[in-house]
Amino acid sequence: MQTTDTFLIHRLADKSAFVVFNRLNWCTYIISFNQVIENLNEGIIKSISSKDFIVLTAKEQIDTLFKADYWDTFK
Amino acid sequence: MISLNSGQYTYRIRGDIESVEEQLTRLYPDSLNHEFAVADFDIEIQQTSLLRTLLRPQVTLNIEGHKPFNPIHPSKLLPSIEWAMNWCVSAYDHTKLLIHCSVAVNNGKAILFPGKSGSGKSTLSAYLGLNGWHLYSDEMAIINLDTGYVEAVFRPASLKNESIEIIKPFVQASEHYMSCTTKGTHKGDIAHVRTMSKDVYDTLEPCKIAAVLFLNFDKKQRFNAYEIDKSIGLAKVISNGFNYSVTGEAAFSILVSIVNQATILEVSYSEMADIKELIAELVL
Repeated sequence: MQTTDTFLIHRLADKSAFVVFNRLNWCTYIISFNQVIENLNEGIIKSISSKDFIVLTAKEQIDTLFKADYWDTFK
Repeated sequence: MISLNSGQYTYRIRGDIESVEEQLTRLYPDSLNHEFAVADFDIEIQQTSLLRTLLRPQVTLNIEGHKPFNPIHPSKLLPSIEWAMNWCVSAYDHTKLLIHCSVAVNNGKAILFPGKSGSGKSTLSAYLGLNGWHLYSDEMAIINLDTGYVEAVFRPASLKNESIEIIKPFVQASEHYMSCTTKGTHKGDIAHVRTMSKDVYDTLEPCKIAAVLFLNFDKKQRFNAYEIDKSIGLAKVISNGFNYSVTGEAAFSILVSIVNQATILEVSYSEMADIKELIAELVL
């Protein structure tokens, strides 16, 4: 789980998705893990490859996506 | 006027209740009284007009100043009072997370049965309630936002159409009771069944949710049960939330935690016996 002023983010236990609660608009987003991997393969995030991403812990994955401003998509 | 205590909530029901009082007394033993009591919700049975009363009598339910239901013939009052009680909770109680589903408990573990109308959730939960399980709720899971545990209400199950005859043979013990059938409501024929005594209800504790089963009853289908992704389960549970959008971050966090811990299954069935075995395994 990762939390900021704006977001509360979890990766579900079966790794099927990340779930995001946006505290600003109270919207919930469910982003499938496959979707994130697809985005990585498309080069949307340059800092890490999908191969390296998969082996990270849930917290590291969420942090990595924070650094890449990926979650801002859900503002 | 009567006060009806469903354990979690007290309702004050005013107006001409004579036609349903006996049924309510039998559905809610040790829970009705005629003395003034502080109530959470007020339901008033009102006549529509004098002319109507003479020609074609109708009543409306004024619930906390709102009239969310169409007027009905007085003979259809019992199901409408039950629906009104559901409406009160789903419209006003945002201190708990309310999910549209039935809830059955055994061995201290709860199973939620969300599902569309006709999925068989009330039939199954009534059947379980009459066969050794505890029916915590027929209409909605009442989930504590701090603990994630589901809480019980002392309310009967609501059965529709063919379900009434399916369940009738199981209404045997002294703590069981099935109401008269109200014919021709907008949902079809309706009967209510009490599955436990008030004494048993008073011993029930909040329970952890062990499983969520999305039911699909189809006479032509063979029994089939498979686990679904937690992401799909979460999305489906949220879509069945009565007040998810107003309970915010607390509801989000508690649902994620429930979905992470629970077994989430999609189940197609045509026979009660098939599903009974599966459900028993989930609460071992």
